[in-house]
Amino acid sequence: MIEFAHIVYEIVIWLFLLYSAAIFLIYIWVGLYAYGAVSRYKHDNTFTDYNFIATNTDAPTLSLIAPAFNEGMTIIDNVRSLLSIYYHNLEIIIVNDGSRDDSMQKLIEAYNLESISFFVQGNIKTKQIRGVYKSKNPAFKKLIVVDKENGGKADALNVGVNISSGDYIVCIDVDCILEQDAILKLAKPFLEQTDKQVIACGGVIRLANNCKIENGKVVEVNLPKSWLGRMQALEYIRAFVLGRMAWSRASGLILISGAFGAFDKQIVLACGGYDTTTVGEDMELVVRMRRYMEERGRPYEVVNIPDPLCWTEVPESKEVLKKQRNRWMRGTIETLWKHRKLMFNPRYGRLGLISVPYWFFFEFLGPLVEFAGYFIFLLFLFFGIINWPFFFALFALVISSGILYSIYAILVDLVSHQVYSKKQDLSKLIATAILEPFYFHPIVVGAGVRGVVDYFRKKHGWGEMTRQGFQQAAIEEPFTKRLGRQLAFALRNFGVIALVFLILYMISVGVEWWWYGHRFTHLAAVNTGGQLLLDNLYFAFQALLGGGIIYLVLQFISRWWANTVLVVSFSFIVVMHYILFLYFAESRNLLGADLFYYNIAEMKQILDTSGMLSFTNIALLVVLLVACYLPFWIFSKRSLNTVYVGLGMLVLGIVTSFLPLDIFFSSTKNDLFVQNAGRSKWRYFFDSNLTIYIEEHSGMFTGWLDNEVDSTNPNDGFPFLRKEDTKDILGGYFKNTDTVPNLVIIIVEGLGHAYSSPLGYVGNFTPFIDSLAKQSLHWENNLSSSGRTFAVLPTLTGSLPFGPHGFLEQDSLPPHFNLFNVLKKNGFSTGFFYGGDASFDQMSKFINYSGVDKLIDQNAFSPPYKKLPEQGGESWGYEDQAVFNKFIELQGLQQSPYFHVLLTLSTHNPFLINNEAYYDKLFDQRVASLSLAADNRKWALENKKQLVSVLNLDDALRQFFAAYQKRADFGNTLFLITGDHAMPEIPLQSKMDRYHVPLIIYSPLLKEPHTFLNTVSHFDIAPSLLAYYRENFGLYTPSHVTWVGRGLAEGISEKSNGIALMQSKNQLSDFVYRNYHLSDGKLYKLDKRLNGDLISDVSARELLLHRFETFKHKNKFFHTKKKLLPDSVYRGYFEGRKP
Amino acid sequence: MLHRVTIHELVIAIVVVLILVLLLTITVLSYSFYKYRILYRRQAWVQTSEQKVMEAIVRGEDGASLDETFLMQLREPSFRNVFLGVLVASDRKFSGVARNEVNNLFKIYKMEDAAWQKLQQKKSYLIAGGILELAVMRVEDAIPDIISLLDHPKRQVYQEAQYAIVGFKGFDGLDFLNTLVVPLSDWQQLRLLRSVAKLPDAYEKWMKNWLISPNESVIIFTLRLIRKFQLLPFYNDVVNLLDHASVTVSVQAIRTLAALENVDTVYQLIAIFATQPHESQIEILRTLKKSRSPQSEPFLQEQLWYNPAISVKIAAAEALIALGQHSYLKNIAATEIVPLEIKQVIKHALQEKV
Repeated sequence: MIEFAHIVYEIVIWLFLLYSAAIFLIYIWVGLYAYGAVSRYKHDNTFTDYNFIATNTDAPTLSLIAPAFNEGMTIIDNVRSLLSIYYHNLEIIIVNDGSRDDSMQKLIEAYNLESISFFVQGNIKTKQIRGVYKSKNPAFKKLIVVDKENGGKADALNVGVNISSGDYIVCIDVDCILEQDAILKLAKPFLEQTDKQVIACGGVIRLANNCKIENGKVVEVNLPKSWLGRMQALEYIRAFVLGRMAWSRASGLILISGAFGAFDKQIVLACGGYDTTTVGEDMELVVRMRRYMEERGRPYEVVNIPDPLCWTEVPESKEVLKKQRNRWMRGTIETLWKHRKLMFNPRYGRLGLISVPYWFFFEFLGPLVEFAGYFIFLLFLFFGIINWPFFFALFALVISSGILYSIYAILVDLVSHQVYSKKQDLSKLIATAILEPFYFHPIVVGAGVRGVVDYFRKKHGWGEMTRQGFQQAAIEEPFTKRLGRQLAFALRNFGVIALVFLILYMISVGVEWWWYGHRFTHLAAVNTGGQLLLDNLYFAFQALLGGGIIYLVLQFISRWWANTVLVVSFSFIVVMHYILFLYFAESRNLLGADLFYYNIAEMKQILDTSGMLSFTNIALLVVLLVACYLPFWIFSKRSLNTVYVGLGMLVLGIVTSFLPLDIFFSSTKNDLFVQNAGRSKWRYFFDSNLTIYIEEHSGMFTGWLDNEVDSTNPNDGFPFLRKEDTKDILGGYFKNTDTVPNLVIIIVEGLGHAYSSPLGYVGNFTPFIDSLAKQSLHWENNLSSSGRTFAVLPTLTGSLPFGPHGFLEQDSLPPHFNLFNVLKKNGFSTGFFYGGDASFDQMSKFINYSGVDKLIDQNAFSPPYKKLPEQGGESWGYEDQAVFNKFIELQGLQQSPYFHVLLTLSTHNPFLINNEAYYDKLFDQRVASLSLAADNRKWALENKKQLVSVLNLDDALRQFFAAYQKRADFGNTLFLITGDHAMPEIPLQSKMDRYHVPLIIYSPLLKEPHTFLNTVSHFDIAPSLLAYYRENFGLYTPSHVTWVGRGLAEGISEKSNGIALMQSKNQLSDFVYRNYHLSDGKLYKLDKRLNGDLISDVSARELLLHRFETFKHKNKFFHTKKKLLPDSVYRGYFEGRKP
Repeated sequence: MLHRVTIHELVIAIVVVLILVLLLTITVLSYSFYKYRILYRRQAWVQTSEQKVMEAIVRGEDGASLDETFLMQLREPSFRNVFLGVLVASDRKFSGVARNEVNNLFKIYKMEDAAWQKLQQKKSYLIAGGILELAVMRVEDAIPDIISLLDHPKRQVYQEAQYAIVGFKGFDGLDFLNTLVVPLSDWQQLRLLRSVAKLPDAYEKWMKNWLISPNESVIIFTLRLIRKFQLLPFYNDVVNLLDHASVTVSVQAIRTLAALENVDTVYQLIAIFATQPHESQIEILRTLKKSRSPQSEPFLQEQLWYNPAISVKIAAAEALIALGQHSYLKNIAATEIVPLEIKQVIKHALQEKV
């Protein structure tokens, strides 16, 4: 997880860096390329005489179209300015777009207009024309005024196009002031075209704010007074003089400003005119025209000239500016979406391969990426994970690059066209360039982001109109029709949310698979990606079915609630999926309902010590939450045009609920880890919780549950009670002695067979234990009772059943016998030594219940004992060396025998140890000396961290025994060493590997070592040990016991009842009997090394199922009754005397 | 094995780029101020140069006498360029004696040398500037060099050479059209057309060749030339172009026929009308409108009634109005059984008040 967070952190940083570098390079290119374009234009036109075409009848005819809406205050002057333009073949079309002011009246009066019959030849569909006016005064014969119903700027321009008679149309905002020679300069590119058709041409727009204007002409140029205005002046210089010139030269220009641009009329008509459904009609038209030409393979050009031709007022209030930029962004998105087919489409040449992708990645995504950067910066700041030198260096670079670009633009503008020629203008512009990144830029970015949000949340006219229409219709319609319509509406809305969910969820699956590939090299060779994808797809569709049904029902009550519930649930599912797969990658365990069987303090300790609660991880989680929720929030207001998507999702949910997944994949793989990697973590989590819920609320589900198991009580209500008849298998191996030997049980955290035995599939990484095993009674095939530590104490010392979630998880422990209380009864002094918190997993409850004399946990330690290294400010507790030394320190020599249990800790996740470098080196030496096969070597290297901690434990044990040997009581002590379970963090080859742990009984009293090959379990240890003491030293043991195990002589043989294995606190799905292993309903046949092969032996399966169910029933029964054995037996033993 | 970049290395890389950016910023800033000074001085130079030109024009030969101080200033190349620019602009602005005085300034201050030098440059805009200046100064010695530049690969150079050579030699300078392969843009055609003030005696042979040139733009230019000089002898050649494959050529041919109109023109245009593309049909109707020939009246009526294209109907109606057929059209417009479309077309053509 830490590594994942680190990698995500690095990926985020690198993505931003690469994006910034891309922008940096693009801007360098734009700067250089634009300089060339501007210079070339300047050189080409130094001596150009434009005037001769002004009166030339052979010059092309141009139609200037100016839409006007509520421009009554200035329209007369504006039209006068247009009429003064010096060009012979020109008509001026003013389109009054349904103004609500007196614009028309003023025009009629000022220019002596009269309404005339006019046959509109253009075929672009527009709003209705109310009238076409021409002047009775021949001086204004160029003027045509069209009065039409309001339809927006694009519609007004389309009317102008329909009416125009020119070869080219020039579209301008009516409030723009044109330079006298603007039309001449604009006409030149069209007149110069030869092999390539010029389809559109734009010029530079400058700011009229604060300029002196007389008779519709700019007579004195000044910079705007406000900083906001100046910053826009600078922005316009950058955009027009650099950006558009570079793109024009590169034949990649897709935007001619709506404020002033000329177009080839025939192409405009052929393309269908301006799109009235977008707010970015200017850009959309150019893209459509270019697309039209590309599709017909006609050579063409879109040209921008650097001459300042047009003056316009820009907003000097922040609010208006924000609205304008919001609209521009929405226009960009609408255009990009409408022409998405062009994206990276080689058929459209530079348009598809460069221009459109550039606009997508940098003009559309730019503000979003920048905004995300601010957000991530704040998060990093909040969590204190900013590398300040890096931040300041990068920040300075970004700001200074922006300033450099602006100053460069000023320079290029200066050398090409000196608009701002006053002395102070240059210094003001430079000051503006320095301030702009801190004031203007954030406003523009914010408005752009808001534009994106508004676009996706449909914050524009027709969305609201649709809703209104629905409500009005709803009142009049009959119930069934209304119901149908409401359902259809809900399905359309659900379709969007479902699509977003599906995409986000499958992205998380993709990340999951990528992460496995990155983390576990051996998974790359095993192709379980398909299974992972399909299983998750199944789950996603089923989640959609569930969510969809709830949504459809809930929306009848409240659409807001339905939306909220669905969005929150789906966001949770996506976020949780990341947590689940990261948990699996970190622990190699599937997370199930066991999550809920740890209390808050335990959970906090687990998270703290594993380093999960680091700032980075929390930051990552917050980012993830936002990243998952935002798309839902943005899209939840939208709905599709069709119900079929939503319906399709529901149908797929139904299909996947009934079509078994197994038909696609055979489950013959032995490697449990690989199998689990290919499973949907969410399905497991969900199923696990559902099963537990059903079990805990069995009353509700009585009708559904299988009650075939005989519920009769075989033993008067104490199903585990039986007469003690365990054979003494150990006595024969030990020398006779008069003194009762001491017993020390060392339970090693996570000590699996795979890496503690020469026969293990990883290799032997416990040289000391191995050497000890050769001098001991050694069981190769020993099983722990659980996949976690929670069951080891009750099983190992009491051969006790589990109860529903582990014996120790019961509210109160039922009276029972265990090694502690039985041996204490026989005069042993007892103790439990643990470096961590003994209350974890309720261990202290068990120790206290058993009346243990010494409970030594982390609270008993102090320096010089060393804690394990901290992670995230937390440590699990004291290292193993400390536990062993503490034991030696506290356990002095005594006459009476003692029994102690030592539980180690260092080999627990996150496997941090002191003196790591030393054991690292030891690990390398060990790997070199073992001459491992290629596979084993791969396993070992992949799990180095875990194995280094194992080597540390082994070394601690070696030191412990070395110290013990010097003690007088060493010769009269039995040492039992075992693991509580195998580490799930080291990939398991089979399900049995989780439970396969070593079992060694060493003592100087041993006559000779012996290796046992029968399969035994932790359940067998307490019965056998007590049998040994009873038979050889006459210890008083209970006559009736509730041992689950039959002793080490029997193990899981035919004479036993078989044993159940509990993987986690909520998962009781494994049962072992004879050489069979029943796991999740599947039957495996075990060989002599506990490797399982999937078999289909019906009778054996039935047998194990029956025994398993019987065990479960007994297990449940004792828990329900809260008693394992009659009080009389319990009291009788402790109150009685040895007969 | 890939080297893993550390954060320290990244910081160093960023700082290096940052230093570069800062250095560049300082450079750009300094250059901007320098340029600003140049431009500021340039404004003063323009004023000085214009003053010099004005003095020369106003005072005649006295004003045009050599000014040593001014000559010293001209050693500055930027100033020299500014002065040259002012002279070229003034040459265009003035004519007659004033223009001669401007020309005199070229010679006095030996601006010719600078122009000659430009012809040797590699940059096309400098060569083009040199050609223009030599042409404005009427340096006839430069004609061979300019002719050699007619085949220059750069458009800017050969276009300027074409323009200059026509400026020097008038119609004779157009002989490059005989071999011209690249298209002649409308812009260039209009410039050239303006430069041809009169025709030599032997123009016919060249022009006939140009009218059958494979270069479409050469044909169009020739048609414009015919229109400009009303060259009636080419009437039949122009008629032959009505069937040209290029719509632009045929439209230009119709327009030229209108300029050369004789008694047969209307009939000829009516005769070919049906076979022409839409653009040519509209041009024919415009020509008929201009010619106001009563013979075309039935034809125009027919087009109004039966031609399916609205634009043709409108053009026909407008031509009928030019023929004085207001009452005819108004009667139709007032007749109930006439299709609405025709009524609207007529009202449009009549620009009837509503």
